[in-house]
Amino acid sequence: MKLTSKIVAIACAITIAIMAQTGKSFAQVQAPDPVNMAEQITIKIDNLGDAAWEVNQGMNQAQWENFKNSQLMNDPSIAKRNMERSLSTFVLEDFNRTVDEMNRSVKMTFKVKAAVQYNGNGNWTLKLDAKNPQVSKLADNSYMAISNMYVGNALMQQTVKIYFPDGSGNIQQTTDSFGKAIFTYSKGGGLLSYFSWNNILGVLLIGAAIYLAARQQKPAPPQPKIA
Amino acid sequence: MKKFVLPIILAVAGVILLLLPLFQSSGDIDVKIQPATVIMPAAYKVYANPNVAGGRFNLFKAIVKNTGSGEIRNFKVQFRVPGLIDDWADVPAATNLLPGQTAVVTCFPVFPQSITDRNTSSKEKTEIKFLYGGKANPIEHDESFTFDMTSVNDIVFTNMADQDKASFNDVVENRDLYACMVSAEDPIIKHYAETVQQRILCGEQGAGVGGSGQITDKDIAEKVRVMQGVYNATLISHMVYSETQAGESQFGDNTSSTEHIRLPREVVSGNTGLCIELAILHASVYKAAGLDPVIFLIPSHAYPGIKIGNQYVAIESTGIGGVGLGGVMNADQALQAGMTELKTFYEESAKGNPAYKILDINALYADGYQDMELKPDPILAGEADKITQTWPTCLLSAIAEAQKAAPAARATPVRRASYTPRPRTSPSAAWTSYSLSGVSVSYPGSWKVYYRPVAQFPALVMAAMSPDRTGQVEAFNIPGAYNPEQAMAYIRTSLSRLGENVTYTQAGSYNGFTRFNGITYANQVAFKWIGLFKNTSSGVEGIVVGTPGGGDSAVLNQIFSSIQ
Repeated sequence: MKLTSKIVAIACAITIAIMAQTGKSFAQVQAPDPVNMAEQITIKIDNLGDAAWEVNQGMNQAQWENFKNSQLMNDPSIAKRNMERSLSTFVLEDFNRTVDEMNRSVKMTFKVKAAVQYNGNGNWTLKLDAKNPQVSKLADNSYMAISNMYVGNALMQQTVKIYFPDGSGNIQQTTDSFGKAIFTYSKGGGLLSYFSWNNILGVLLIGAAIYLAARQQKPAPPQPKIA
Repeated sequence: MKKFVLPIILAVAGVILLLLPLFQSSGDIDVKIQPATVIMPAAYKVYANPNVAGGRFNLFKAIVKNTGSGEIRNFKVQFRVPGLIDDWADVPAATNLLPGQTAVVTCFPVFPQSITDRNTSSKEKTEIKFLYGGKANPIEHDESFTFDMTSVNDIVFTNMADQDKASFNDVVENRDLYACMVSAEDPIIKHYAETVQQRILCGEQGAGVGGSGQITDKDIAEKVRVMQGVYNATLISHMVYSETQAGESQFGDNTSSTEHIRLPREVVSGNTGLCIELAILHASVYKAAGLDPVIFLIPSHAYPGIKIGNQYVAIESTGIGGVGLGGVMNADQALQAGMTELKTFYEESAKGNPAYKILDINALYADGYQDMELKPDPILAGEADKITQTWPTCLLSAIAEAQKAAPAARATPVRRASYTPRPRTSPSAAWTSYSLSGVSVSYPGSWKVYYRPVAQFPALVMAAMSPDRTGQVEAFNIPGAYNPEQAMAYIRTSLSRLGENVTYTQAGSYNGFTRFNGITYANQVAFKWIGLFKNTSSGVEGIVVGTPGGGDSAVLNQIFSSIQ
């Protein structure tokens, strides 16, 4: 499924929470008055294609004042419900929210089931709905995508770090016919996928059978003649 | 041979282990279905689009977990809705599932266009097949569920379970679906919009923006003129405001308000509409005319508007009135009322009042809330044509022509066939009063009264005739006219289409009214009359008193004097 729909929704969840009390959320009525914001999202993908999300957002004093009156601050269960509804094609679990009042920041963590699609033979696909994000490689199994978007009136810069599972390889970033980013990677599959317990034991048994048969077939050494 | 027994046993056991996957299930799946409880045909394009509202408008979501020990291969999900989608259709899904892995499969059905023919609600069934395994050992897991399908006119305001509802937005979360009913591409509405442009706006196109790309005052004025033209079209059609069906229904664990919305084609052909229906009609015509339509939703009400850059213009489309609503507004008044409401709208939305919501139709279309495709309907088209044919050929030209021709009007007296002189009778001592919103008149109680006597000419609200048919008083209401001159021009144009020729001259003012003296010729009968017209809260209203000849001048003068 498309990851960025999640990203946008997450961004909306916090940004709208911040802006809900500003009186400027009705962008259509008046000329936009951009509120610049930055959001960091970390996505860690596990071996089964599920992903652990961590969303961090710091705020300035004015944004923090608004956030304190928001639903996400005062009624996180409703915020969770809204997020689940805006991400209807996914299953969210273990939702948690941590507010750091001393540093005017909020952190949300949750798990997304089936964030990545498995295509068999160890091939996985992660689709980003964003067009032409700036993607850079951080390490062998991690990438960073930076994009800007408007959420309500707010111009938001979103930095998404994606950590692919340990042992994943052949990570490639391409685009589909609409210019949207796609990550593909390999994890499992291939020859390694045949190392299941039954295969290993079966091969060992056959090997043992061959060995024993060979031993049985081996002609007995000539007995020395005793005069 | 005995010595090979053990190796043979080991070899057979090894082969069995290697071939074990061929004999065992390729995995077991645990399926949880989250079905839609209700489907609205008006939003059938929305259901096909996974990008709308985060995929909330789906037929079902299946959470499939591989609970077996082996990898599931060739995984496939298919569904069908008998009677709507008869052939099994694939749902995009992962092809493989590792042991313990979960896949989320969401179905966004592509319903056929014929779903818009649904005029009644029904119960439908969805059948789902989960297929996996090899060709030698295919496995099928079946599921099914039923759901409610509404009529094409119904909007269900929320899909949220009752236990999750907490706020106003929760019970009206589907309000954006109104955009699906804005049907600028409907052939009936397209024709209606063209007729508005031809007959009301007289071929002027008000939607364009100046060649420089800058929005000028002239551009804004042109767009506003289109808005007022649409309003005038409903006004001179004598379209009335009327209620429609609404109530609460139960859909699974969700109790939701539902509203039966007449489509714009039905509003035009039925010549009646609720506020939201009129707003949707206006928005449809605006869009067909190239404007950027919006609908303002406020508590218990809705009205249309347009977006020009960052500015909005609103008009009160229900100003056309109706029984129980009081007065009728002319287009200027409707615009003024709309702008007044818009000021309140700004204030309330700035406070964060969720009941005040704007539907930006083009933005919603871009988000996937697309309009439904509607097939031509000769019956509705015919009904709509009957109404538009009562409009003047060109309202503006008719007004200009009337103003130009009026001073030189001359008449050749002929008699109106329907007014055969009869012996004069004394007026009854008892007099009856008749009042419009701002004009009243008294006439003898013995006169026979006809309300809206000419169906094709609804501006003639009342006519009272003396028993000998030598005297007549008529009451007119022309809601779309800006002044008495326009009203007279409209009357002249309308009657000319009915075969009557009206000539008149303006004869100054009288007691706050504009006075007209005129003669109407029909069937070789000349009906001489004096008319008093003035602006009221309902547009322009007026009283005409006249005689085809032989009328009692004392009675007629008394009637004339009673006009207030």
